[in-house]
Amino acid sequence: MIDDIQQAMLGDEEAFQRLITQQHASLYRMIYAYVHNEIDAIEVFQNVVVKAFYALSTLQQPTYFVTWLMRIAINESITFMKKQARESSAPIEQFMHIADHVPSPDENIDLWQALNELNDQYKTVLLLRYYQDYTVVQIAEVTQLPEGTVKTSIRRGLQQLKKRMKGAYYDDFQSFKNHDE
Amino acid sequence: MTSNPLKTMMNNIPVPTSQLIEVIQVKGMTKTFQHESHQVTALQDVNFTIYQGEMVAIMGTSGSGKSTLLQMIGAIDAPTSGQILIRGEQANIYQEPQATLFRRDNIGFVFQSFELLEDLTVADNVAMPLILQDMPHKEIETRVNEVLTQVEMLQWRTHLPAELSGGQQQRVAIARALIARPPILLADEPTGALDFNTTNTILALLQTIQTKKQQTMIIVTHDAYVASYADRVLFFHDGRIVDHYDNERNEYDVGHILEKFKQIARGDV
Repeated sequence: MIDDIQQAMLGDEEAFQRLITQQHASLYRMIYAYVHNEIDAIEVFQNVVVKAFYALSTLQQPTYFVTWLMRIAINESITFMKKQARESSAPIEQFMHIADHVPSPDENIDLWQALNELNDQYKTVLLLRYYQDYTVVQIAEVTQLPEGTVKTSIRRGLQQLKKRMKGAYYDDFQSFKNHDE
Repeated sequence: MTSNPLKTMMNNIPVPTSQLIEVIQVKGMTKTFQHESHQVTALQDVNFTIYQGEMVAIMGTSGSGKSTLLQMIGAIDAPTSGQILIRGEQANIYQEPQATLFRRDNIGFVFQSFELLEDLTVADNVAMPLILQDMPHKEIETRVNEVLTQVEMLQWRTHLPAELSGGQQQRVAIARALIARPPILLADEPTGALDFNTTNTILALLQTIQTKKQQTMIIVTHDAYVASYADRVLFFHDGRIVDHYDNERNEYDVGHILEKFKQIARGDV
């Protein structure tokens, strides 16, 4: 993979394609967690690919590639959502309300809703920690937050998530929390 | 790492396919005809790619080059220069009878005037491509029933074309075009002889086949309404593609995304 990253940094399109293909499911799902529908997720995915390709030469170290790509995906998703909220004539509250009622990816409707009610920072750190299995150091890289803030955000995000789910899954996450600290 | 509810939920988000399979690639295609003392250029440096499962409309006025293009894709005529690859294989390099076999294996044709054989029943018309392939009788029957069901014409299987309406005849023609399971369905003004309501039902049928079977389709039309059903429209004018836009096609392939971006940056689109 490092070879492909180095090649891609020199402008090798095929190496870049291989890299994106490896990451595409996890990237796409991250984007989906913010934009909530396939058409928008694909649009954001396309923006991420183009941005990443043209910014690749600015990447400091090949080993940062995956977290760097994840940062672009998250930033693009959040920017996209803010732009949509701005362009929507409906007040923000109403927009959030609609977003809450989009179908969840499976029966985990409570968890999906609870996650989407969190602010972007809590949501992002929880996705990176519990979906991507990133370490606190990697999450700090992606979010550009101090490690202390990342730890606090994971803890508080988890608390809020539990509160919103009214105890469901409590034990599952409890064990993760213990695992983590 | 062990799974957790968040990860399980995230992994249940369906991911659209990232694989775009190129069914038709047209590269630098030019076609000139000798007309008396001067040369006429029908197509000039035409380039495009059509992917599996796409419905692409080709629009243009008469004399724009779209009929010539159709003959090239249909492997009826060969370009003066450039090439056409169908599923990666170069078309237009065969002489008859190999050219006929190439067409039979790759393309199902649908015409404006249906072109059904008057003296044969619906079932026999549809079966014709397979009869010519010497397929066993039992298998032909199964396939005929399958495609006639698909176009909702099974109950008409013993009727003659003359007993059917225009829309019904076109359904039979579509069944005939699909029976050999060609990777490409090529429809030349498929609704040109039909009224508005029938046009809608035929287009809806084509769209169902496209999405359910991932059938690649090219529809040549002068009618913008017909073209609006397509994922993508290629406009021809004076032998060139003059415009090219997507109707929200899920373009998801990395190479494709970059290529499209470059086209926009160059001002090609």
